[in-house]
Amino acid sequence: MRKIKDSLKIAGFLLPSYSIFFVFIFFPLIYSFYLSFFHYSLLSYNAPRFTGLQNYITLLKDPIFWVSLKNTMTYTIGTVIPTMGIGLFMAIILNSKLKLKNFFRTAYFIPVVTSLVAASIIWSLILDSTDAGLVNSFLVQLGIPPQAWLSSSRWALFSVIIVNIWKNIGYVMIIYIAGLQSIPEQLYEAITIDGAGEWEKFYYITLPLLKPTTSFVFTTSLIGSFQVFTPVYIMTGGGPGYSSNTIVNYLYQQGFQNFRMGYASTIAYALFTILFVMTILQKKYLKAEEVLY
Amino acid sequence: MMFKEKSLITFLVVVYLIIISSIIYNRRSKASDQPNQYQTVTFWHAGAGKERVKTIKELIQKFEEENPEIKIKLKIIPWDQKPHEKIQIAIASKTEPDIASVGTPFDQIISDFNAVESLDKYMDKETIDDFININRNQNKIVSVPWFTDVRALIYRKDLLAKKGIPEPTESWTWEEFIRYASALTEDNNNDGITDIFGYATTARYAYQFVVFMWQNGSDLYSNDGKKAIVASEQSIEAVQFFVDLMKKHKVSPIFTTENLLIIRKMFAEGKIAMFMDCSDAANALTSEPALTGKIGVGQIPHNKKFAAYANSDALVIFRRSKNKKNAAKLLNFLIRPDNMLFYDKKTGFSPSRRSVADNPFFDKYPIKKAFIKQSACGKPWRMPPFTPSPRLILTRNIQMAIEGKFSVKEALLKAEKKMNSEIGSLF
Amino acid sequence: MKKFIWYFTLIILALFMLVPMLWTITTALSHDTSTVKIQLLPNNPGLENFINAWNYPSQIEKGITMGRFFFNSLVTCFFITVLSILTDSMAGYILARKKFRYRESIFFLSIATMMIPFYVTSIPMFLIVREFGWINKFYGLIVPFIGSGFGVYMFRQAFLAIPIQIEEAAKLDGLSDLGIYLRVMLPLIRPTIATMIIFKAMWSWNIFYWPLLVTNSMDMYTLPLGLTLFKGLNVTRWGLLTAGLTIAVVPIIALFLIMQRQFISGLTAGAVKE
Repeated sequence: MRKIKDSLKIAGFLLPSYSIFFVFIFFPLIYSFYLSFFHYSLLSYNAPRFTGLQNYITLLKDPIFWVSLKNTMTYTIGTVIPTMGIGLFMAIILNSKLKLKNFFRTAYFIPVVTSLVAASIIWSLILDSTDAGLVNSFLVQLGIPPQAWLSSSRWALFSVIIVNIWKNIGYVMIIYIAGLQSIPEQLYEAITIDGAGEWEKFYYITLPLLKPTTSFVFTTSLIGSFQVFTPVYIMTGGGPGYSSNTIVNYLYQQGFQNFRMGYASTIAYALFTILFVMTILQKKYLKAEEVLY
Repeated sequence: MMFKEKSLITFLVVVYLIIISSIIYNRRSKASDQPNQYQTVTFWHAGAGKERVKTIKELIQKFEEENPEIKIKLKIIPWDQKPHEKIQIAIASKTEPDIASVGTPFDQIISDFNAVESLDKYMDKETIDDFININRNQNKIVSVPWFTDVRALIYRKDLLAKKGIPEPTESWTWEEFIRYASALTEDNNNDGITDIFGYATTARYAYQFVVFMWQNGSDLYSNDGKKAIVASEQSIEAVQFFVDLMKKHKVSPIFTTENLLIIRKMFAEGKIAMFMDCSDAANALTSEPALTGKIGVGQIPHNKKFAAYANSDALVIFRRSKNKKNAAKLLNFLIRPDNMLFYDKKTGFSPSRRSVADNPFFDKYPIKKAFIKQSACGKPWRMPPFTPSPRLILTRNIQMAIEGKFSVKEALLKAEKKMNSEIGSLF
Repeated sequence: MKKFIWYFTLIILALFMLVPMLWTITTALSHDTSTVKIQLLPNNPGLENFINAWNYPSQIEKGITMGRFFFNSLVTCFFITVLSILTDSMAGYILARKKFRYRESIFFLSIATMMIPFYVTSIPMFLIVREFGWINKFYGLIVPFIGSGFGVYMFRQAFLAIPIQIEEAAKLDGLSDLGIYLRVMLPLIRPTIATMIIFKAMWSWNIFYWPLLVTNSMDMYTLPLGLTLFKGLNVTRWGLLTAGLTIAVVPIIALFLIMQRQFISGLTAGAVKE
């Protein structure tokens, strides 16, 4: 009796949000998984045609998918690590007793709320590929040859990465400031008595104690940057060639521009599997860290 | 935050009761929505420019006055709200309108899937013959362009005049075009950085080079639609010409992924003398106070043939519509010469009917006239049945050729192979 | 001297961060054009774009201004924020504090909701919402989002960080689970709630693709949908668009400033103890 009451209670707490998940998220998730085994177009009047594992086999042999996956990985590493580095650096500076620090915090947070569409457009204007472009003429002043920022496969993905670093620094910074504020002051005092400098403080106290925060930022940024779409869509369209095409861009191209929704679902599930495995690995890794605190 | 337990439970129960009752209520009312004293025609219009919407509303009002038994339910979908995706989802969920205006070649794709009605029986022969391009699929008319949006050559009068270069006409050959563009290209202070480009193009858009394929007597697919022919001798020559504009003659900046808005910006700043664009862009540029009187529109050059890229917004009637007759009435009303003229006057688009294009009204406006003249040789994309648009394949491969990863020939061979593998693949 | 270098670095970086926003505001204050310009100072500054942008929708549909879009966004944003914070924190609480079978898997399901791109799930989701008769209604805009995996995850972490002794003391006072959640735990994670208010409000204020699918007429547009009116296939009214963007971003920045204090200490609870 007691047990039934308990489970009812648990269900009562979980249901408000999980009922929404079931209807609006899990059902669509399962439905699109089902579609990934079909030859299906949104336009089709006929029922989807079952093709078994055909979509998955096509996917494994699809060079564009692999290129997009590689780009997405490069993009994720290129975005997440610098964002976290710069974000942490800014957080440490803005956590000190600096005048105007509230102004700076707000300023660095503003990209987070700026429209990504507008930002992508203005960045593509600033990164003008011609020799007379804004960034290029600045580089020439410094004696560096001008580069084709959006027009060459060497730089296209890099340009998109820059925009996303710009966009996410504020988010990471704010979370790190929160992490820094939770470190007890006494720890620093103790190590200062031992004659430690700024660098030792950072290395022996700040960094280890921020590890859990770092993991949190890392997980959310990872899931977020694996699904990058808008800046690529606007700035390079995935080109030149496929050099800046990412998974979600490819999925969008296949689903809505090439009318293959079944195949798009397959791509989505490939992405899902990768993220799923990464998150599980991440959780395992995190468990070991809990001792730290 | 001092809630009582009971109030929380009550609150949650009320929220969920409201949600559930709304489901029941809305499903009921959805079912009882049907009976109506009017015959209602739903019309989805892609594009929400102010002038366009105003004009289309006036036309619909006029239509409803002429046909008092029909009511039009107009839904405006701004282009940035992805009308083609909305239509795909509408088809998937069986909620498509009776009639819609869509951009080519989307009309062809939906007609492959048999989502739209063939229009032969709703139109008379005289009207059909009057159209410069009517959109057919398998010899059936699937959509009617109610205006043409052709790409012509927009140029800076002041820059051309400075170098004594005549107004671009269709008489220009490719050689002349390169010669003039080179003459316009200029490095003011000899610092090795080009300050003015004679021409500008970008490989983000396939039509920017497919036009040259057409002009060189080639095409995307063979006439029977069985295979792609983009790697034919003529095609290679044409794309080589396009790539050379950037790489060899250096009359255009090397743009592989750049959006046209960057070219428009540079054009407005006087850094570009000529580029290929649509009438919307020309009108917008002319309305800039700093550019008044400095903008002209001429014809793109020719080689073996005269050709230009002309897409259009085309009217389709959906097969599942229960109201096809009235939808067809609206369609025929919108393409009636007087209404087409009215629409084009207001919006600046080019007419898609010969009889309207000949109207003396347009003679007063050199820019409109230039676009109309260009549309005489304009043609849209057409693909074999159940084939996705080759736009992405072509642009990506040409971008790589511009970068020097492949030769133009290799890039086109790759593109052709891929295009061949996609013919009919949607079926 | 060292201080000077710090300030210099900070100001340079702030400029880098603020350039797009500055450009947006400058363009909004300048004369409306259809070609985009790079400028950081407005030419003939004026507020005409704001007024024109505000009234622009009425030229397409009589009687509708951006005020209507603003109202729709406000309603959507308010209900999503309030309801999802309530439901997510309830689930987060039980997942943090009760031991039961499949708890880890149930929790993992909530993280999994974030891993599939919306383009794929949106279509079956649309079919469901249509089946419920919620097209072009606030229900369709709000209900699918009154629970979120992100929120459950965040709240679970926050509750985990609170010492268990506090809860045991409350139990000895004879409080029920719901009582503990409401009277003891929620007040303790007030900072996390503030954090979630920012994130949820920001997210639901900017959401674009879903409203695009479920709205059919202009009187139901939210702000991001309304802004598409200024951006055509070929021609964009930059002055109006940037004015609209500026109007749209003000409430979120205001909310950030109001919540900033609590926001910062709130994330600690969520982030520190994994």
